[in-house]
Amino acid sequence: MRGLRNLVGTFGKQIVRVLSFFFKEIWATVRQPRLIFSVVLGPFLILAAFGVGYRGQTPELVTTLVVPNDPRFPTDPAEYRDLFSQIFILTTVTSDRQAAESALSDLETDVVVVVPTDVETKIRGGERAEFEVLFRETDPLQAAWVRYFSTVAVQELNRRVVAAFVGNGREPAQRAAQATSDLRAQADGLDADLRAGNAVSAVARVLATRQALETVRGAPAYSATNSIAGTPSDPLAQADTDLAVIQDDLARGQVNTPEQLERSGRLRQTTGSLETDAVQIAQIPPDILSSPFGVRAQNEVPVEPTAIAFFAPAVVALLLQHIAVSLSSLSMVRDRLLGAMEVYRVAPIGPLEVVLGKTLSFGLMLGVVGAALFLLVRYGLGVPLLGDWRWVAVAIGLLLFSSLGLGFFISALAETETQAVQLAMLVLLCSIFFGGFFLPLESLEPWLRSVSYVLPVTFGSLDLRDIMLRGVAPAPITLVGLGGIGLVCYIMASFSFSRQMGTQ
Amino acid sequence: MNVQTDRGIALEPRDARLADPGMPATDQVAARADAAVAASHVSKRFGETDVVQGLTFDVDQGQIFGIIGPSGGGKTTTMRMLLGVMRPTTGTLRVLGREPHKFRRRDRERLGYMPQLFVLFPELSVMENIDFAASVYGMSWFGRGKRIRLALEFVELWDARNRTAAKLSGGMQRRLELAATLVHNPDLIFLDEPTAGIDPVLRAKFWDHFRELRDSGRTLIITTQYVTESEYCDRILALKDGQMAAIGTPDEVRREAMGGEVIHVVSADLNRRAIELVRGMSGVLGVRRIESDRLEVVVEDAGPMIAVLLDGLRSAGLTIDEVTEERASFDDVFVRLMEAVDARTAQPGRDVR
Repeated sequence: MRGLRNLVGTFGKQIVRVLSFFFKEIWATVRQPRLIFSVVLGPFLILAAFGVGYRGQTPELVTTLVVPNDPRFPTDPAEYRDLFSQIFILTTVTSDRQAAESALSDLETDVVVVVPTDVETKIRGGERAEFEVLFRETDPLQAAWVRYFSTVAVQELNRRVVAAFVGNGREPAQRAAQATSDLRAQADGLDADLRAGNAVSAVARVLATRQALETVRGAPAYSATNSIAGTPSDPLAQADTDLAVIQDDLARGQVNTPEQLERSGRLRQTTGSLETDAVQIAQIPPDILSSPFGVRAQNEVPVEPTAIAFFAPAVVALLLQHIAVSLSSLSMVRDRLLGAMEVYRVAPIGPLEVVLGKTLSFGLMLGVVGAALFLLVRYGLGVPLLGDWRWVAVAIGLLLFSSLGLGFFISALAETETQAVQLAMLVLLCSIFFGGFFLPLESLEPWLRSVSYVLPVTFGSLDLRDIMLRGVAPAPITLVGLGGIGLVCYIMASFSFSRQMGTQ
Repeated sequence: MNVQTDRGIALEPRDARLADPGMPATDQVAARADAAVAASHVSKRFGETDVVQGLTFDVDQGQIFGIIGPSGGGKTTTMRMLLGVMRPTTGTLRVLGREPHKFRRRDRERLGYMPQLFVLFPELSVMENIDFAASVYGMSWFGRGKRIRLALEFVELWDARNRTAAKLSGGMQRRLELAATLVHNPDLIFLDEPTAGIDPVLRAKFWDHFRELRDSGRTLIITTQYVTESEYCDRILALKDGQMAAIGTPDEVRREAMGGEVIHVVSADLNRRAIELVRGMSGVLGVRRIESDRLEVVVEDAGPMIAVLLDGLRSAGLTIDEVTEERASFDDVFVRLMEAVDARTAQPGRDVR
């Protein structure tokens, strides 16, 4: 009984000791309004500013168009606006290339597009007429955008040119359609003559049909039509054979034989089919002919997120990680610099109680901050929550556990507050670049990805995005990852604190 | 039994026995059963430097034990070894009957420690700071309120309990630290230079507090650079360069430093014959003419020797103006002690008893 009482007493004292740090940290936070501002309101404001201010759009570039000094090229930007509908905001059209380049040097314009001169000559000469796109961009991402949209704009221009060309070239297609109609009419007449036993007329029809056939075969649009219609390379080859056999039979005085009728029937069918294809193709709009393939991409996620919705969960994870790492690392270093560690060494308290007390305190405060951030994201920024909120709580809890552990580990390494702050900033930088915050993990080399997987934010971002945007439970491996990072950091930090608090 | 202080604040008295009754017999104090501290030939070496060398001393319970010496003398290192923060390189050390580096939590609960630097949390209030200190020592929430009030009233900070520590004066911060050291009612209190950097009035108050604590049965081990504070201790250990310069009660140390007790004889008739007369008297250990009309006579026991000197000199026909016992100031005492250590270092082999 006495032993049990002692055990309860010892356990009770341990709880009191752990809670001493719990309350101390809460009091210390409450008594520092600036800290509350930076810990609680700071993330709110950052997130709110992000939500309100992030446009999620491609850049807009002020563009100057340099056209040849030719009356056929108007200088009113409105005439060209439909060609510059992407990132290029066309403000000036000029024929003075030098002035345009000066404007580019003086940063008065972002992009100068130079229309090629002697376009017709070059194309007729079998050369490409190239647009020059001049820009002064140090940001590689922006430069890539310019190149990409330049290519898109030129492709669009090419398409329009081809469409115009095809539009102008509709006549050959229509002539081909007419020729196939004539051919089909001759084939019908031949069949009728054979069935009527009119050998003389049939001989004349054979000749007329052969002539119509050659006309069709010689039409420029014939091969294109066959290609578009998906017919064999020369669908009239069989017709040649049939006509030759019928002609030979007629020469021998045979008319209206079953074989002749079969061959004339096949001839009618072939020419009829050819006429149908040719007429249909002649009716296809030029812009479809010039650019026959389109694309319709379908995002199969339940709700397609906006840019804010996509980034907001990662921002929450990053903010929580950074605050947790900063608070826990600075707290232990500060205790050490204050000399409190000396008191802890003499007092009946162990490193685990110190760390556990601080963890509970920071965990509670940051849990409140995390919940508030989540509510802001959900209801303030309108980010959807397609999954279970309890998974959000689990993910944030594990994220805080691992981040606090990482902070304590940093505090075991740092000897001064400056060092702790620097290390926390390094973790933040690593998180931004390697945590999948805005660069997908797949874009990193595999060896560099190993850095990503020791950062709590990597797993935290994945989990929050999965729960909120995909509506699924977090992958077990990410939860194990968060727990593992935290556990390893706590073990290493506790080992280090044990040494610091032990006898020298 | 309660001990009433002059402010009427009751401090809980301590049992005379300091050793933990539940402690196994083999762990009990080896040297003296009633000693709070027993050190035997304790040394501490950092690299090639001997910071503390061969200290042997006991500290009885219920007394103020001062560790005194100049800066860098090894006071804090000695205290840190007593606290279990450092382990002696050689020698044996027992505190509360146990080697300090083997302290269990129950042992540590009986220690109070006030470090040299202010280590309380500036953003917390007085009350929160002391509450934190009580919690660290495992005091239950239900019983600690009374102790906190007692400790704050003891250092006269109860009225300032809601002020943040950062807004306290330097003296108040030291008092708060003392209260935090005492809040869990420790048996053995270690105070590392508690009066450093505070004004004489407050210093005197601190010593009043220390005496009250001693009178309530606690043992205090105090380091100080102020040699005059030796007078306030029951026993002192004087250190220089990590070596023991002296140990004992203040009077014992003074006597040891001066070679005995000192009597000054003032007479206009002083001459060689008179000096030889005094030197030949039984009980006289040394004679020195410090002024033309003043002799410094070192004797074993000043009380009876004053009458002997007076009778002897008057019998020899001298007119004696004054015979007084001189209590050398501890400034002088320490100068002598430090010189003695320097001499001993120069002549190895001599030992300090």
